[in-house]
Amino acid sequence: MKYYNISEQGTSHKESEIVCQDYSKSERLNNNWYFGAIADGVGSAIYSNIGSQNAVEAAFDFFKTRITENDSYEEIISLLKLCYRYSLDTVFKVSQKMEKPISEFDTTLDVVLYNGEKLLWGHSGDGGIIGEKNDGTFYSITSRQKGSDSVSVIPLRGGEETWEFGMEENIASVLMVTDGMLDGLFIPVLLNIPLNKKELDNNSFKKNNVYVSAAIFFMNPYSSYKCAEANYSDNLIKQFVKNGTNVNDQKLFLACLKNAYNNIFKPEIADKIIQECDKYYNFISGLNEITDDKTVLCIMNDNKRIISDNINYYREPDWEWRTNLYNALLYNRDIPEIVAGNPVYDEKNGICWRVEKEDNYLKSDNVKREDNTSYFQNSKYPLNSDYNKKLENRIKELENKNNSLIMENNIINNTNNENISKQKRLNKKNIGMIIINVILTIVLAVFTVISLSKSLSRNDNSKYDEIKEIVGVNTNEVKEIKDILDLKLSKQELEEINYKISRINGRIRKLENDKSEVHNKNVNTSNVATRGGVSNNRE
Amino acid sequence: MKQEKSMNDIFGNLNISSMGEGHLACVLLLDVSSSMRKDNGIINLNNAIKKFKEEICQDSIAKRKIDIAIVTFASKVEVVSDFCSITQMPIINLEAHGFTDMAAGIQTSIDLLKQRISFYHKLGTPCYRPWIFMITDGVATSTEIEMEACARRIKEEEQKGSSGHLMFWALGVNEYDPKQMQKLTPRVLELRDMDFSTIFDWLSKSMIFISKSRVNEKTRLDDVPENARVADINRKIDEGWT
Repeated sequence: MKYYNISEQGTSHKESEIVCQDYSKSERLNNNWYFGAIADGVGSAIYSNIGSQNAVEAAFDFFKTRITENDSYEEIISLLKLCYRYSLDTVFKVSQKMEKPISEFDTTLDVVLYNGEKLLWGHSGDGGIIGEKNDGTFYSITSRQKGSDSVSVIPLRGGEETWEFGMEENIASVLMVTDGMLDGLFIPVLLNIPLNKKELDNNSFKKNNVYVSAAIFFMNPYSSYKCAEANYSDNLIKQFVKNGTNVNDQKLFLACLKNAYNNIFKPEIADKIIQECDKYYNFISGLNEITDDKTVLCIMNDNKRIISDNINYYREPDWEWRTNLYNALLYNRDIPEIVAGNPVYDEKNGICWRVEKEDNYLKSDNVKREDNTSYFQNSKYPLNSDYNKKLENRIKELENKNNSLIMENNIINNTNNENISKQKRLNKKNIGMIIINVILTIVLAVFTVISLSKSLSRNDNSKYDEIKEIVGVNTNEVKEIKDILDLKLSKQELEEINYKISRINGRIRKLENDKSEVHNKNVNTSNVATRGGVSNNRE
Repeated sequence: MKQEKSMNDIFGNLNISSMGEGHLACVLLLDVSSSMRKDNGIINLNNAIKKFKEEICQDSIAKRKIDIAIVTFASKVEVVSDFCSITQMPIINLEAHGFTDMAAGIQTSIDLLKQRISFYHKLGTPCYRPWIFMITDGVATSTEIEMEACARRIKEEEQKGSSGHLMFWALGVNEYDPKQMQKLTPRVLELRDMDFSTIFDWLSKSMIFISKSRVNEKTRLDDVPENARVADINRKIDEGWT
């Protein structure tokens, strides 16, 4: 196990003659546990340097003798919570002793306990803890605790409600940094911007992507303790943090980085990654531009060797494209087009870069050792592994489920279409029946009038009108008509009229029957159509 | 210094902004009522703004960090230029006309600024305390109730957060009302004449200075130029100049 920590006064504080407000400590404890703590004194608090120092030293004092072999991880987490209370109490007592308000001693505090595999951590403030997994991926364990204005920081004084604790597994290395280093180098804005305006509007983009080249340099033993260019020590890291960097440091940085990549990939792959990195000078300029106090603390398990098949993950981001994208979002300009071959996207939880068009050298077939052993054999996701097969099976299972759902959906759609057709047919039938009804009524009226006019043409017009009126009003009262006619007609004429009237009666009854039948059908059709409509709407 | 220049050369060629740099948003809130024609006021103002842009653009760091919006008020309020990089700020040619609806101008400026700050936060961009720099030459024709509402809002926006959100400045010239300005903000300056070039020179220097400081860091600004001073409600603008 290797560990180092450094807290250096920032250039802005040097110029304004303000002491370094950061403080850090890393030590080996009993039972193979390693302790690390960093604190960043809040700039606006006058005695924040005292606050940060006391918070860290109190945390170390607390853990110096407390962890035993028998402690479970849960018990250690509980101890971490007590440690935070103890640190805050210590700062409070100092403030009382100095007779100053505790707010003048405001500080952040991050504490870790690491045993080479498991990491237990506590977090308060806007610093950050970055972990490296055994598969070589880096991730931000914590997120910045900021005030409602997104600028101010929530200090240790925020209390238990704001403190966070947790445990991580399969950790190869852990890095702790204060906000200047976090924002300026390890989790920079450019690496955590939305890829389009929609993501920006929805606020749906990841904000904890780690700049891998920087993380490798600080967290991989092959770029320091196992690197000839770094004199097999952490001196170069400390020198960079203390004195800043300039363009001439680029070569030295790349040499250390290449040594680390040579132990992950075969040399020609490492060369290509380094070439891309050399294009931007991003690491040394990023480190150079941090004017805030700088604190870095790292505990790494140097017995672990990172082997990864995810080459794209280690490639240098296209900073130029990202700058253009950032400016496009900031000033509402057109989003720049993605350049084929450049690793510009992150996906799968920020683990890899999506590449529009891969260069040949990055194809995984080429990634083999000279002795023909696979580079991926120890990877978390080795090629053709059981894990991949399980994934494939799961994908197939989901695809089948999806297909059956699509079929069910089609059946429902077909039924729905049939119902709609039925309703249309019924509507047509309904209209037809209404038309027939109207025609029959007209025919009945015309036929009645014509028949009566024929039979009564030789009689008194007034009688004709009277009969027509009565027939028009009540066709059933034929007997009354006959009585009226009996008074002035001859027997022969009466018989003839009787005959004709009986025929008319017959026809009238038939028409009435037809009419009621049509009406009934019409009513039935309307009901069916209405029910169909409701049903269809529900569907 | 030599090394820094080399670094700048590299990044100048690649057109890459530094990874975590903060932005300073500033609204220039300008009175363009008809009285601003007096003593070539509006002409001087146009020239001073042009020079202000040129001076900031000469600084390689400040020009990347400063975002400017220009709002004018007369009978109506107009957003002449929405927030843009100082390098993209359009050359403006303001004309003076109408009354002095200052309250509407202030409310529009604060709305614009809040949108911008919210945008910075969403994007993860660190930001300095934003500025509104108002210039006026007369008494506001807005109602008293409207002006009181503005004063309350400015106070509220300045007190938000531990470091405060807004920094509201008022610069009075000619027949401005110092009492009315003092109700809005304690940061009231006044000019002896209509020569805006010196105060814009001070403004550009202040902004360059802030842009080179840490976000959230308290900074001390330069003294104001000779033809400007901090306003006093017991003193008339044409009195007591040395």
